[in-house]
Formats: sequence, C-alpha cells, structure tokens
Amino acid sequence: MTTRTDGTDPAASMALLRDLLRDEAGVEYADAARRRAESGAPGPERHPWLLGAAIAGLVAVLMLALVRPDDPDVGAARTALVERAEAADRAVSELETAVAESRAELASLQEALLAQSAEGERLVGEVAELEVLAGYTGVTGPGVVVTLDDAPDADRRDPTAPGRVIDLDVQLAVDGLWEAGAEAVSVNDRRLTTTTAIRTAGSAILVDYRPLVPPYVIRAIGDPAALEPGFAATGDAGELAAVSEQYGITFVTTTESGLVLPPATGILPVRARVPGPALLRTEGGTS
Amino acid sequence: MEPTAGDEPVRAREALALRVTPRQVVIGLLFASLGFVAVAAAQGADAGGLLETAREDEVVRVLDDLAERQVRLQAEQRALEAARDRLLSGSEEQRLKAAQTRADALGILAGTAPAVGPGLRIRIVDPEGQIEPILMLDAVQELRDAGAEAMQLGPVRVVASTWFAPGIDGLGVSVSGTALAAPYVLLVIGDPDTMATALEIPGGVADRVRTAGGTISVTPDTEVLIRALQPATTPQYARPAPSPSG
Amino acid sequence: MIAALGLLVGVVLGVVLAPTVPLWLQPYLPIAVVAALDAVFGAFRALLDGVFDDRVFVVSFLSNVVIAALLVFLGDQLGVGAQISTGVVVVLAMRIFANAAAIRRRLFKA
Repeated sequence: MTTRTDGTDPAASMALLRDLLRDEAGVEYADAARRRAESGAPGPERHPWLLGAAIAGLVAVLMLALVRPDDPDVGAARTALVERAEAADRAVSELETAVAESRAELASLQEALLAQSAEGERLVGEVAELEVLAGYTGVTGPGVVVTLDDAPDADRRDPTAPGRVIDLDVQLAVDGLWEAGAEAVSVNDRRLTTTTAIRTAGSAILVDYRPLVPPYVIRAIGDPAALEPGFAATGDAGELAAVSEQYGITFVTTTESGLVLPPATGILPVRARVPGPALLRTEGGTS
Repeated sequence: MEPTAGDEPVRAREALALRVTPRQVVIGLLFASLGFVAVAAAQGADAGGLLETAREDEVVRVLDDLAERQVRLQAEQRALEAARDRLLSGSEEQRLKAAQTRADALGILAGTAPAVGPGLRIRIVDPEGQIEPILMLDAVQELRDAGAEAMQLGPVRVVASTWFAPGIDGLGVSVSGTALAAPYVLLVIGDPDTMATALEIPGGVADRVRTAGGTISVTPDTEVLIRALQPATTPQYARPAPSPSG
Repeated sequence: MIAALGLLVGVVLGVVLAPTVPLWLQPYLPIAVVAALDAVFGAFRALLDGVFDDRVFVVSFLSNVVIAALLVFLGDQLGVGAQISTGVVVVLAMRIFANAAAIRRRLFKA
C-alpha cells in the first residue's frame, strides 16, 4: 500500500524526504478514493474483524509489557530500581531542608534563651565558632573555582569511558585545594565536612550520598593570591592536568571574589562522644 | 485529490458519529495506544536521571546509601525537635547541657575535641613501600562513605581539610604536611560492621593494600579513643554568609 | 469521535497505570508517537478533503510507526541512532506542519 517499504535501507530517510515533498498522505488517500470509485465497492473491507483482533492483541501486549512493574525483564527491574533511588533522593532532599530549618530554628532559639547568662553566652559563641569550622554555616569570601567536566566526546552512558570524570578526579581536586590552604570547599553546592564522602556509583559521582550532575564545580574559599598558584603546584593538580591532556577532560581553574558556599546538611555524630577527662588520662600515650 | 464541496461535510459528520463498527473500534484502539504511549514516553523523558546508566548493583548501593542517610536524617530531625522542646520547657541547667551537647558534637566534627566511641583500629603494614597517598585518600573516603564520624591517622586528626601527598623524597605519606611512615595506624569511630565490610569489598582498600604487598588488619573495638586534635584556626577569608539558605 | 474517545482512554490509562518503560524501548517511544501523529494529521486532512479512508489510515498509522522504529533501530545498530532519530523527527515534523497548514487552510479558508 505505501511506497515506503524500502524503510530498512539507510538511504530511506531520503525517500521520506521525497515523500514529504510529494505530499504523500494526500496521495495515499486520493489513490484509495480513486480505486474505490473505479471498483464501485465501498473499500476493501475483506477481513475487518481479523485486522481488528490483530491490532487489539498488539495493543494489549504492548500495554501489558509496559505496565507490569516487576517484569522479569532486567531492564524494567532496573528502571524500577532507578525510580526508587530517585524517589529516595527526593525524600532525602526534603529531609535535608527540614533538618536545616530545624537547626536554624534551634540555633536562634538557643541564642535568644542562653544569652541571658554568662555561661550561656560563652556556649553560644563557642557553638557559632565551631559551626563555621565544621562547615555548618554558610560562608562567603574570595577563592578559586575548579571546574571538571567529561570530555565532549565521552559517552555518558559508559561509566568506564576514559573521557569521563570519576570520583578520584573530584577527590584529587578537593585534596589539592585543601593542600593549597582552602578554608571551605563545596562540590556542586554541597559543602564538604569531615564526614562527607565523594564516591562513584556507575556514571554518577556521589557527594554525601547524593548523585551529582556534571559539570563538577568545586568552589574553595581562601587567600585569593595564593590559592590558585598553590593549587597548581600540588601533585593533585598536576595529575588532573595530565588526565585532562590525555583524555580531553575539562579542567579549568579560575580565581573569583564573592564565592558563596552553603552550609553542610550532614548529620552530627551519633556514635562518637567527647570522652570525660578520666578516660583521656587512663589511656594516655597509646594509640 | 480535489474534493467536491458537497462531499466534505457529510464525511466530516460521519466521522463525528459514534458507531460501533469494527473499523471504528480499530481506530479507537489505535488512538488509545497513541495516547497511552505518548504518556509513557513523556514519563520516560521525565525520569531520565543520571542513574539511568548505572549498573544495577550500583543503583542498589545508591539506594542503600540513601536509605541509610534518610534514617540518619530522621534521627537528626527528632533529636533537633527534642532539643528544641527541652530548650523551651527545661531549666537553665538543661539548656546549658543541651548547648554543651551540640558544642561537643560540632567539636568532634571540627576535630577540636577528642572523641570516643565504637569503631575500628586499622593497621596497614607496607614492607615494600608501595602504599601511595592516593590509597590513603581512598581509604578515608571509603570509611566516610561507610559512616565514619571521627578519624585519626597516625598522630593526625582527619577532618574535612585533611590532605594527602607523597612524603619526603616520595617515601611514605604526608598527611596535611606531617610525614608518616608505615605501619600506618588508622583509628576510626563509626559502625564497626559497616566500615569493616566497606574496606573488604572486592577491589577495595584491603585488596589494594594486599596487591601492593602490604598487610591490613582491621580490629573492631567498642571504645576507640581519638585524642589527636585539629587546631582551631579562625578562618581569615571565609566569612559567615548573611543568610544561610537551604 | 471514536478517535477522541480512544485518545482519552489511552491517556487516562497511561496516567492511572503509570507504565514503566523498559530501557530498550525508550528510544523508540517518542519516535513512534511522532510517527503516529503524522498519520493522524494526514488522516484529519483527508477527512476535511472528503477522501478519508479508514483502511488507509490504519495502514499508514501502523506502517509509519513500524518504519520509524525500524529506522531508529537500524541507526542504533550502525552507531548513528541519534542522528537518524533526529532525521526522522525532523522529516515527520515537517510533514505534520504541511498537513497542519493544509488543515488550517481548509478550516479557516486562509
């Protein structure tokens, strides 16, 4: 019926183009109309029920294949898993916001209530200072921005493609920035703390268990005059430059003023506690 | 091809009529599948995250990690609410105690306070001198991933800003500028089982130590004491941001 | 009428059942939808021209979908899947445009 049965040929896109120019849909219908007029019959209605049943079956199979969520098909199971992971990611994101709000609320409450006594005021000051050190306060200042990105020709679907940025690359950049004297570092707006891990899962790099989307933008606050040359002098930066040269990974460092780093959303320790003075004395010297 | 003017309205009206003939059913089905598939395709385009390309076991790992983090965040949220309630209803003494607890927790994270808790003692022997700084960095990342809360490598407290470089003359490992030589002793507080498992994954830290001709011993302990401190230096360039958003 | 009804049923089913699209099928769905849309616009135009034929419609609908999917599959095998997908979508979109223009001329006499 159609003139496009040569569709399996790679050059068929040319045929499609010709069809387009020929206003093909119109031709098809006109042809059918002419034939009908010639034969005098009301269209070739030979096996309507058969055709209908065949198509109904096709559609039903298609829908069933799509709907069954626990399809034995590995792909479908994987997709379901990915969806669960993405849902979990959203839930964690919401929780992080809630925790950050509670934390801020508690901090201001504490400040207001404790500032009444000298001891309280000292503690409030101590907490505020420690929050800056631990990364639980948003900070702003001058520094450098290191951008890492996959090579333009790297296959994003292949986690082992050489042109892909891997967790080690991000770790190296961060390590080199600390070595160069950075005071605070964030990766794609996730503030790094003592407990923040930078890991890989497949094609995704995780920071604080959250998958990041390339490009990887690493912001570091520190002495603007010293940070960039200091970073460039580290072995880490040297290694990244070599990787960049060899595999085409983007690796750019720029000095900027007025960087803003968000507070960490990480969790305070639950297992570690500060030992009493007695414990510190009894185990003196061993480690 | 050119229709007659009289034909057209009849045809159009016919198409609008709802008759149950096989052909109508077929066309209806085609449109139904079109709508269905269009919705499916739109949702597929929606869900296209970067985990799409991760292998299944890796997605499972991400899922586990996220679940773990979710549990911890929920605990944190409850703790914060409890702290707020105590703060509001408690006595001055209780308030001070709550503030001290928070200061302690932050001190452990910042490395300005000593820490004690369940965890691991890890001893890495490197007779051939093949252990590189990058392996130490990897070990620290792996332990952080497994929920480590405080760490000490040799005499150095491991915090966010700890960095690793080759030691003097390329021998050993320099940790934030302090040269260390094997054996390396790593003390870490966190869930002992999770962390020990993380070190032993195939191709992981323990495997790589052994490949380098070294040995690694991992000993769980209910009371790991970390006494090394990170000096509290006031940042000179990082200023608290005016509005801590998000 | 039956078309609108079918479309509605399909969309409702799609939303209610929230189908999980297997990965291997994902590249084909959007192409299939665009190809089907092309057939639909062609049919609508024929309807207005007074030459609509349901058999032509059914066959062009199915063959459009199958050929578009086949082309993408072939492109994937040859390593030019993305380019072929783009080509198919461009051509089909041009045809849809042409048909839409014809429909507009017929409906609004402009």
